[in-house]
Amino acid sequence: MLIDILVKSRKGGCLAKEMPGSLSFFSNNTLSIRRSILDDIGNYDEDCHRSEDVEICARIARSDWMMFLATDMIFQHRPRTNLKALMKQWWGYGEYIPYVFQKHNAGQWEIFYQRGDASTEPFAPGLRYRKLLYLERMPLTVCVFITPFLICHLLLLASIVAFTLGWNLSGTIFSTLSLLAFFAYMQPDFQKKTGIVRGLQLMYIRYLVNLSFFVAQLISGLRIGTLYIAPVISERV
Amino acid sequence: MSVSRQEVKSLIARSDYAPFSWLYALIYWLGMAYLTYRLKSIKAVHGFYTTGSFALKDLCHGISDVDYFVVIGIEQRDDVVVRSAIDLALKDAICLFPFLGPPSERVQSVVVVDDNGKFDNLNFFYRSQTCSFKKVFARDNFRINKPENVDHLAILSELNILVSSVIKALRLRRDNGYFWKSKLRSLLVLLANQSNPGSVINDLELTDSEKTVLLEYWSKPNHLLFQGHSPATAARAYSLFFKLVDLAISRRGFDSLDEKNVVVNLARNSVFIANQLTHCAPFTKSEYSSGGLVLLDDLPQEFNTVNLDGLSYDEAVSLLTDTRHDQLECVVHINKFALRLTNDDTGITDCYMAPFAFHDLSKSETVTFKEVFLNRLVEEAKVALTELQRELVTSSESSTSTNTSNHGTSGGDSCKNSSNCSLISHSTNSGISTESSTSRGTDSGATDNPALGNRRTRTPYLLLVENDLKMLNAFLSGYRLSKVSKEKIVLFRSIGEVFSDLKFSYPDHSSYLDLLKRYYDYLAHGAPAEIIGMLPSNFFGYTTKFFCAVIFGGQLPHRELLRLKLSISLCICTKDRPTMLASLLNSVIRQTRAPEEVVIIDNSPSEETFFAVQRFVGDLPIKYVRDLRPSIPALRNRAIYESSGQIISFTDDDCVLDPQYIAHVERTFLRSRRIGAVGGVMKHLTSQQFSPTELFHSEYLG
Repeated sequence: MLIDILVKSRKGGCLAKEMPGSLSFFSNNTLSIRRSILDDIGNYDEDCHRSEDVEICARIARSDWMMFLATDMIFQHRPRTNLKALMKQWWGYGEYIPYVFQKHNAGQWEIFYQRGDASTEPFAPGLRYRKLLYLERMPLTVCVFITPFLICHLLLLASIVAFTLGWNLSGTIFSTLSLLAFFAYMQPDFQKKTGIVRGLQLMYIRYLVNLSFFVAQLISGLRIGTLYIAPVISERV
Repeated sequence: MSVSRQEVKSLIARSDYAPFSWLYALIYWLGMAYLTYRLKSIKAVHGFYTTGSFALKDLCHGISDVDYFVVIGIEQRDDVVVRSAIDLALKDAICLFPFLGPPSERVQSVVVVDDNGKFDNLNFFYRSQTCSFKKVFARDNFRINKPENVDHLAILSELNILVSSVIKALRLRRDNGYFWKSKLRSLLVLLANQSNPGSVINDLELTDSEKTVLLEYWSKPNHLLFQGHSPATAARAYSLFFKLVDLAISRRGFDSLDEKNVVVNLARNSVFIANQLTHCAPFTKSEYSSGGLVLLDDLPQEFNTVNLDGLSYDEAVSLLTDTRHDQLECVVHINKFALRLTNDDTGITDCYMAPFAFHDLSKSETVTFKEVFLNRLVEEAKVALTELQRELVTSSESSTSTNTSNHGTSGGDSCKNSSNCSLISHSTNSGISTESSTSRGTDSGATDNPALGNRRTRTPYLLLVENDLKMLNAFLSGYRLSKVSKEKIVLFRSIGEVFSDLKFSYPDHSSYLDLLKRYYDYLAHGAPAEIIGMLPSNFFGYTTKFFCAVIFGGQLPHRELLRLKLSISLCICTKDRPTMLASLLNSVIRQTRAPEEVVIIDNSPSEETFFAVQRFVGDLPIKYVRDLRPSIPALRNRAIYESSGQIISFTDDDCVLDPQYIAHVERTFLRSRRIGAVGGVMKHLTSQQFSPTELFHSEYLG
């Protein structure tokens, strides 16, 4: 979900005030704030050690102020060069996203499933997801995006359980389905221009990044009583 | 006879090409049935309506015969589920359409109808692939099941759409068979409200030769209708079409509809009319300024200035068309109605365009509108209003009220006192007002407003335009319109002419207008980019104020506004990356507009960063702070504490800024006082040998 919002950046203009289950935000690399709004929204939250930009932008988005994305403002960013650093970076992002969600949406239960992608909703990432469930004033906090990544892993889990219990038929069905879901998830990696080797590399990296983000969300979320599972990277720029 | 491969392709793509016709018919029929099924399964959709070949149950030519679908009666417009369901149904159906007909014939075809929002996405995404879209707003009580319920308003507006599409198509020289056949069919369906046009033709009050022509159109395959693309045959179709339009008007009794006189600078403030007509809109005039504008778009090259005094609409059209009848491109296009919503200095939100060809410009100042037109105005104003209200609901509950106290019987004067909203709010009152014959004068509207204003305590926030080109285009067309509002209509052939006219009218601002012209050229044609560096910081805000003053007749903004500045503190938090920090600081030195201060919060235990920073102390106003706390937000708060500028601009040590970066930060903040945070676009720096992680970044993270 995070990256989906970055993808929006190509159009420019005001960011939406809120999107279902997600956050409009600018990365700290490029965030510029008017000093006078700090009286209104407050400083950075010092308990939120990573993803602090998401947190402060969540407050701006909930205030009366507008967030403007200027496509003319271009900066270059030096990406992480090795896989470990990349995974660590995304682990760090994932660690505090549930905190931010819980801080602003405590007691909400939201479940979405993916309905479209960049080809169907080029500029409205929020509309790529359809709401399955929305409840307020509930115990704990839940926000789940049902995506191929999640389905694939749930099916994998189910098949492992089935095989352990000796239900071979259902185990086979589950594992086949999970393989299908896995192909659906990996499909963006193999587009027209990418070669097989590049595709495999991309697949490998994206899977690990998604996994570290996912696990970080899960672990840190459960620690604070929040189930937050959002996809990180679902389509290519 | 040699036929090129291309021709063969386009021939095969035709749905009336014999061997394949049944296939195309099947696909088309399936597509329509699918759409019908999908839309019917959505509970919130009351009904929908199609014209063209589906309505005729006679497939002559795929998609270009489909004039539009109307999705109506969406009860819960705010419901995301419903809206996305409709959206998806339409998209899925449209995805089937590329199979139908050659693309060159599909230019003018599908009208997807939706109330708001989705249209732009659709238009953006499919425009290049399949066809163009028009927006028609939701209408109540209009169902395909009960054709007798179709009301005058609906039919007239459909007629109107047809006429305007014909006019537009004439400009595109659509003198081909497909087009005319489908348009005439649609018109006949509309006229007779019957599905079989053959029987209708006999009932029409046409001469025998015209009937023959009409029947000939039906019997022949499309591609034989205008063989050789003779302008004369197209002209015949054109005159036949308008004869049918006249017939439809008289048969349906549109002549007998009520007329209302509206004193007009051209319909500038339609929402205000909407208020007065309906009593329903909690829409106060000092909060919004909105214009229903009649656009003179796509003007023919031949005309410089045309005086349309004393001409009826038909006469004006025929004057403009007949002069160069052989080319069929000289059509004045007074058929667009645009509703614009503007806020104090933020610019323009959105343009609600709908074609409307039935206004009568016969009198100089008093324009007689049919009831239908006003209803249409009200309808569209309502839609705009719904959208605005939805935005208001999503905005914060706690927002403060600034504008609500400004209106009253002399809203213009009170608004002048409040420094910020003077321009547009003032203009609101100089806009349209209904005559006493409409039985509700300006007084009632004005007395209603205070109560409404008290009820609504929140200020609206309106979105900015997506890019400056759109904004500039809107302003320039607005300027054209302000010329229209005089007794005669001035036609500008090109944007260059508009600019020269502007320079003539406002000689004091010629240097600014030169700059604006160059900027416009840059945006529109990608002219040399050094212009960006020359723009003053508050260029956008100044332009907005300038044009608002010019168009709505206020005072021109002070020149000092152009030199408005903000102080910017660039805050960098760094840890043990001295070389990266050095390259960032190098890029800061290259900025066209230097930041007032550079605050560096150093979190590194070693001294290297300090030494790296030392090399830049002479070149940059650096404030170096050492802070070893292990918390990133704490460091950022420290940076906020140490900095002093009005704008705090954060960046990280692994970034490199473009030379225009800081200039754009300032410019963006100066766009509006309501902008609280600004962000930019990331490009990833890569080394030459694409490592897999870099590949990942470039493929997935931009």
